[in-house]
Amino acid sequence: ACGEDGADDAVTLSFANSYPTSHAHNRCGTELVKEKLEAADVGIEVEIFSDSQLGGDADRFTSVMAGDISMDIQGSSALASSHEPIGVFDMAYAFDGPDHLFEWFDGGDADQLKEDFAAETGAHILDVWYFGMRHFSANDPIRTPADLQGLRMRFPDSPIYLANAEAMGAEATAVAFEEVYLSLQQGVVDGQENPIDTIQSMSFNEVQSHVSLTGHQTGSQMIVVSDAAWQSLSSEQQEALTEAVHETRAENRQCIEDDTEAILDEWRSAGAPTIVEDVDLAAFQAATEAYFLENLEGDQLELYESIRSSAP
Amino acid sequence: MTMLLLVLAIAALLMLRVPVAFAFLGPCLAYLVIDGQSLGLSMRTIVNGVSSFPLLAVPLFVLVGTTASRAGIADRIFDLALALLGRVRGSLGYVNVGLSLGFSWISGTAVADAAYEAKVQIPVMLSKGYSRPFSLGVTGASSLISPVMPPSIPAVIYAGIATVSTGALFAASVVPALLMSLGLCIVVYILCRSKPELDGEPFNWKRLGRAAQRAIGAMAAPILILGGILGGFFTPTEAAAVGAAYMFILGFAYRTLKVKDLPSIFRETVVTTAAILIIIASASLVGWILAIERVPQQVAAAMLSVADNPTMFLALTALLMLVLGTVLDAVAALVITVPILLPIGLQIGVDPIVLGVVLIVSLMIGLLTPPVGTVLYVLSSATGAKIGEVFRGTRPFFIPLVAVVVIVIVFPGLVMWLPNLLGL
Amino acid sequence: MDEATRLAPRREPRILRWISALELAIGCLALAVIFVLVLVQAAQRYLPVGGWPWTGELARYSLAWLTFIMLGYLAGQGQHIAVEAIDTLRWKGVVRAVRIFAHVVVAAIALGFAAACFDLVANDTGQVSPALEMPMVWLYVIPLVGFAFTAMKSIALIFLPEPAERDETPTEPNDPEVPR
Ligand code: NA
Ligand code: NA
Repeated sequence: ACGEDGADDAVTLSFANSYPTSHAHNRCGTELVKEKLEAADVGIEVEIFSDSQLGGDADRFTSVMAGDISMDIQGSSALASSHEPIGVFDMAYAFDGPDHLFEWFDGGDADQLKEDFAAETGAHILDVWYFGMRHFSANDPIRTPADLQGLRMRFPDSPIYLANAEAMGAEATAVAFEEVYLSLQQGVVDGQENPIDTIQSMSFNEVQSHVSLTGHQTGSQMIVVSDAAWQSLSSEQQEALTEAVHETRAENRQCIEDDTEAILDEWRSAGAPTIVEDVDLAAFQAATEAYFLENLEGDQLELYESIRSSAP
Repeated sequence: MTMLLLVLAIAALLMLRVPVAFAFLGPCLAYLVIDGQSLGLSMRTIVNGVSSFPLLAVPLFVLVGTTASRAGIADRIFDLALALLGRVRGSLGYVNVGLSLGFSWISGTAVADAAYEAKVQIPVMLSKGYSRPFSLGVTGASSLISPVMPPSIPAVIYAGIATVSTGALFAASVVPALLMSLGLCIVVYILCRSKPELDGEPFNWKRLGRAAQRAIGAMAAPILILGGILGGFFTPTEAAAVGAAYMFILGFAYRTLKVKDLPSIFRETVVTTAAILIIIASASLVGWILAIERVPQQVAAAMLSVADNPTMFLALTALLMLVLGTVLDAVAALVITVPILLPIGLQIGVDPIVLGVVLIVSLMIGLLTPPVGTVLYVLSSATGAKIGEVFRGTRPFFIPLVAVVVIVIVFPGLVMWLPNLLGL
Repeated sequence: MDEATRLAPRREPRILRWISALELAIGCLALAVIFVLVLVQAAQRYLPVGGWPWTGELARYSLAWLTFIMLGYLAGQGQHIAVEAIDTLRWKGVVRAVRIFAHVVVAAIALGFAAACFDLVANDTGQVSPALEMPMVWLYVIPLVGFAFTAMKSIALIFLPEPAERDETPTEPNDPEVPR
């Protein structure tokens, strides 16, 4: 506003997230966005705050809504606390994988969702990144929904994850994330579900004999930007930011997939944990689809049907 | 407003007797508002700072301690411990360290341990003629064993951030925790050796039998809590609640606890808990500002310019943690610094497990150092002693605690011995 | 020592005593909720009821409520943790002046945070908690009350006589109460 031009006018955007600097979302996520914007030379500087330094997921999103944080990486279940329909992204077998996720998101059906989201929260969804597929770990293989019978499975404390548990026929039990390792080790719970890199980084593989590749959730992460930050950008800057985030998406996915493969290879060659690949996906998909079609209503049902009908 | 002004404002308010929590809260709120952040941000940050699951163990372990103390259960344990140690001079000092070591297998935080032991052990030590500074000092110093010995909440958090094996880090912490206990016992020996008035009574089998019988119910508590965790019945936080429930049952069974005692037990627990947690809440706001101002990164850059070998790096890290540990919650300090320190450490060739142990042990010592060592305040709040008196009491115990940090830095093989043995 | 003197080591005007009683009641209720919910969380794994993910969340919020509702109580009783080095000064006038200054500062800061709470409550973003689906503004109502009471108490303390030194009137955690 002071009228001087040159580098002094650069807008600084804070870009926060909950992941360690070593995680793909920072290593080949936020860092790439920062580099791309520097290269674009449009007067945007990015400051990255990893590792929940600026608060937990829900709290950081509130800060985005209030304009205290410019940008963040948020899972859809956390965002569902502010705009319920978006929770559908995290529902079991809603998406068939990252290709389906990206195609649906770019296909136009997401535009209404993004508009409603912005109207309700005052924050904008710039794009969606891939977070990896969620799988079960336990001390038994889980190939069919019936294998979940009698196992106490730890799910995150949110209605969507509980609905997923119910849809798959699992007995969900509440354990805070900080206590999951000990609980698995001591048998307080029998198993849990997370993406492969989380299972590895939290060392759950040390205390579980089997990881079953159920891929029951296509992990998705929204790149959100606060309205205050968005409005402070010129249209050229808005375009550059959108492009940087969108271009990073593919590289980020590649990183996630490479990391996941590397960990799986390591487990395979170590012989532990046993990786269960012959999962009856059709049985899980049928069970969850029947459940959600019966139990969802309103906007959520509409969104779920839109996503499922676009499945390849 | 610069960081320097913020620090000066906090220091000035602390010296002018403004409560610690408010001395943090006021300047931080002013800083954030001037910085253009929303008014609500400060409030959300401090509320989030205390609404975390692991912290639930704090009120619950305070409740265990308050109830045990009010129901006379502590006295039964001490009678037994005294009967066991017989004439050993300064026996309650060793008992204090030993019970912390035992408690450390249940508790993952120093604060919970200090709060528990301040209620259970200090009154008994005072009544048996131990000096106040010694009783406060040995209780405070030995409470640091809890977050080092597994299960350890800081270890779980470090392992999560550093993506190292939690099991290996747990195993690596056992030897340092045992060294800490040994070192504290040596100080107890030195401080008590010329005090004949601290001699126990002569050993007597009949007395031991009577004391053991009276203490059976109390001795079952760690078995219930530890057995519950190890047997896979509940998590460490849940174990604290089960422990409290058990203490109520025991007190009513012994008829030393009456329903009319409950309000004052609850009142005491709530007062102690709130006084501790508001400081953790306000420290989380300081942490937010440090993070947004990238202070840890600047410190790390300065560090890299002087440290060029693992030993030097670890020594500087320990020093930094000693300082940070005084003004920050250990968890907040880990969350802010590990992402910066770990890559530097790896670059220099430090084992991430050794780094984790050094970070945790040195951060824990920070809990005992003024102006804002949390354990000092817990002991002060729980006993009514002044901060200065508590700190004077803990001073002799710094020697073994710092020695353990030095040993771990100089002989990292001691840390890695058990994880290697277990193949982790 | 009888119960009444233990519960009120400092003479407060009646209205402040009522507020203290209210703060304490809410704090104790929050503790009871934490205690029961954590037990329930442990128990529900072994009972057919199960599947209540909100127990952990409500327990965490109760911990925050406990902390913030007790701020005024601690201020009124002089039980906040503070660096008390200044108390050792010989000049009682200076000590008294510093104490009054501290009360003024605490009152101002408490008002600032009450305003911050009010900002959050008044500008509801519609966010709900993940498990309970409780409107997030509710989380800040009790802290709002807590900070408002803290400001009131601290302003009152400016005009009220100081309580006796801690060493002379041990608060009951220090009571040499031995079991009967
Ligand atoms: Na101890
Ligand atoms: Na421990």
